[in-house]
Amino acid sequence: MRRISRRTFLRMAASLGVAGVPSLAALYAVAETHAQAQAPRVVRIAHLSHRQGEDARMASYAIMGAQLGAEEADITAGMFGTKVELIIEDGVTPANMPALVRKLSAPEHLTAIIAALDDPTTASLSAFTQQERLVCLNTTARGGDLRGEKCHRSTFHVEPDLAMYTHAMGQWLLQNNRKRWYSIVSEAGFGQEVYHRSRRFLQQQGGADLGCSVITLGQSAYQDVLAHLGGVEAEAVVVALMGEELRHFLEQYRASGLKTLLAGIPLDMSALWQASLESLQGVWVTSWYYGLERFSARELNRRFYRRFEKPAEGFAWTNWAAVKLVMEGVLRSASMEASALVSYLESAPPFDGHKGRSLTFRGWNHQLRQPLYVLKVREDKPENPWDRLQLIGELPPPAAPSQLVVEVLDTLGEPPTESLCRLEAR
Amino acid sequence: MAMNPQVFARKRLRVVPLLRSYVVPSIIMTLAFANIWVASAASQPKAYITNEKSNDISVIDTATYKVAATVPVGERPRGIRLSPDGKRLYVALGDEDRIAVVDTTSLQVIEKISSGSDPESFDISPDGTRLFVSNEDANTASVIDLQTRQIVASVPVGIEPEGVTVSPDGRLIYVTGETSHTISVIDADGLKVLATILVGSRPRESAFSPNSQKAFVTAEIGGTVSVIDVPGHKVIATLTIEGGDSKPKGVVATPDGKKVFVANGASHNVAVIDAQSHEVITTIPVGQRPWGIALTHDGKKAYVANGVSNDVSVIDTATQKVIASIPVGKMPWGIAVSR
Repeated sequence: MRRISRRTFLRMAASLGVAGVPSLAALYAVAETHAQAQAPRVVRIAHLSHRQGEDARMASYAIMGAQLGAEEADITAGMFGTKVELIIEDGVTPANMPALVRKLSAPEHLTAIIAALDDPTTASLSAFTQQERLVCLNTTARGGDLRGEKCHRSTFHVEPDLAMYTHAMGQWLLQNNRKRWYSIVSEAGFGQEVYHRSRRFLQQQGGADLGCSVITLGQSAYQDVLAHLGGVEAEAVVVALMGEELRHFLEQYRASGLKTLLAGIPLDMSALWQASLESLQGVWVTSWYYGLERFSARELNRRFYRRFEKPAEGFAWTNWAAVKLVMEGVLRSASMEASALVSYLESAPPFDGHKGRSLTFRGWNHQLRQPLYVLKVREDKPENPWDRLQLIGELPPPAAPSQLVVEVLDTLGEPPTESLCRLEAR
Repeated sequence: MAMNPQVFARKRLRVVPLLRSYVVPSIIMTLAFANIWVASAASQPKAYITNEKSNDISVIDTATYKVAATVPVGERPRGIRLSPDGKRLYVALGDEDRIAVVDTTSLQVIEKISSGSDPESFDISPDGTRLFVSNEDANTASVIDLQTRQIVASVPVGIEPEGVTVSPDGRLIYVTGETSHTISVIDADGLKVLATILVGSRPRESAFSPNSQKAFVTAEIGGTVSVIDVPGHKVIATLTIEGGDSKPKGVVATPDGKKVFVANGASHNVAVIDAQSHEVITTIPVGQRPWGIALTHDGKKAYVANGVSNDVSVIDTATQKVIASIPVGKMPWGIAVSR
């Protein structure tokens, strides 16, 4: 039987003037009913990650999040005669990705691919899925180019980009009267991008960029950097480092006795727990926090902990959310076709990510709008490493009754006027 | 020392007239006044408000719009319902995993019933014999027999179930699934799910029309109200409130079936919906974060619990204006109004 996409259905309904109902909302309601009647049978979602080396921690949380999402999606889909199948592939590289994706989609149609991969592999996958007419949801890669010059219509970004993380931290620092920043960033792309975004943000908001130290990969000595930092009278030090560089810097910063507030962008909590960054201090920005309680975040955190005996972190959240988005798209559009899912996600359906706000994808670069969280590292070092972080800010603040939710959330990230993204035509 | 019977008889003779003259009339008068007070108290509708943070309920005299009593009930009271005869008030205690039972005459907690974890919302069958409670963690709705206090059934429903509403005819129970965006329609006799309906994002509560033919479901994140054709188990309209930026939560239909009132949370207002045309007629500014909403039984007044401003707004449903604002406890959540 031929399936009718939601868009087609709405177009048909509009042309027929369904029951004289003028509003899109009313038409959508009819589409919802339609969805119940025509729900497809099996939603197949491929989850691609690289569970090796530095990426292993990230991948393991990403997989757990996707598993919980799939189990919950299967319950919901089951109520409408549909099943959700999650296919996990955790050895994905740019080299083996095309063959792997073709193999996965050969026996039966893949509804969507969830990418829990690094930036280069995600970029390759994004281009490939566009060519193969598959939908891709990026849950881990943060680079601006994926949402900019390398953007594609069939890719949607659940993971916040570095601009959003930087702006959230920036908003918090300005709220707390810290306008003079010095930056210590990795020579890797993400470090350079954070510095670029920070400087631009300060220019726009009337703050002062006091300069930047670029840390080379493998650098372990920070005496010169710290000596310079001691003389710049910064009100905050923006830190964009990862792995061993981050560990060395934090240890030597603590030993130096410097007291300027460290503002980390972003925090990978799984790294904190597994590597036990003893010297971690300051404030850090993240996309999810296991201590969130409001808006049913407590319930989601409980479900995750009950399932895996681990607290949820950012990548767990983005992957849980990605599966939920796909399942909702299929149920509400009554189609598993890529074009229908793209149209559904582009129609800005209000997504409930347990963040208390309606989350929608930006039309100009397919980035999911969402609030982020600023966490403070407790100095008293509690026994349980999970207790080392406490929530001190949700950015941007919730919209006032006179404000539009979308406009408030768009204060994080690149505005359409600055975006280099040019999505392919439909 | 034993009293001489004759002395006793004389004294008794003196006492009896005294009783007859003064004490008995006094008692009769006192009882009469008490009866009048009780009758008056009983006849005057009361609004009962759960205060989530102060762990009590505020009892509002609907004649004076003043708090007549504050009753401590237990930890984290939220959902609240009156028994059909008005003699018992049931209050969900989220942090105690129990439902408190309050005697509406003495205003004392007389019992606490085990309910499963973190009870938030529930409803009572029209005959007052069963309680239907959502169990958020277990994705089930429990059915409690109010005679035996036992859970007699546990029905699988959507993910993160919350709002529970029994249809006025007692035949159906609607349970919202906040994470699955569903309404599970339970047959009240067979205690099985008859249908699952996909509604707006994060459905919180539902309200039936008095004839049980339509239901209105609020969706907090979707910013919508779904209108359901109850016999057909189908969404027939979806109203977007304030461009989707409101957060609809509490919902109630007027006894004449003409209007629906929706408490819009973060928008700090109440939307009035035409139940026939499914259009928003107006929005009424109230206190901060209106959450629970209930109507008087004549439908003339709506009481709205404002969670952030710690007060209750009283709306005249004819003029659609707020006519009173009553300070209550901390973080008022749910409301029940007696006959």
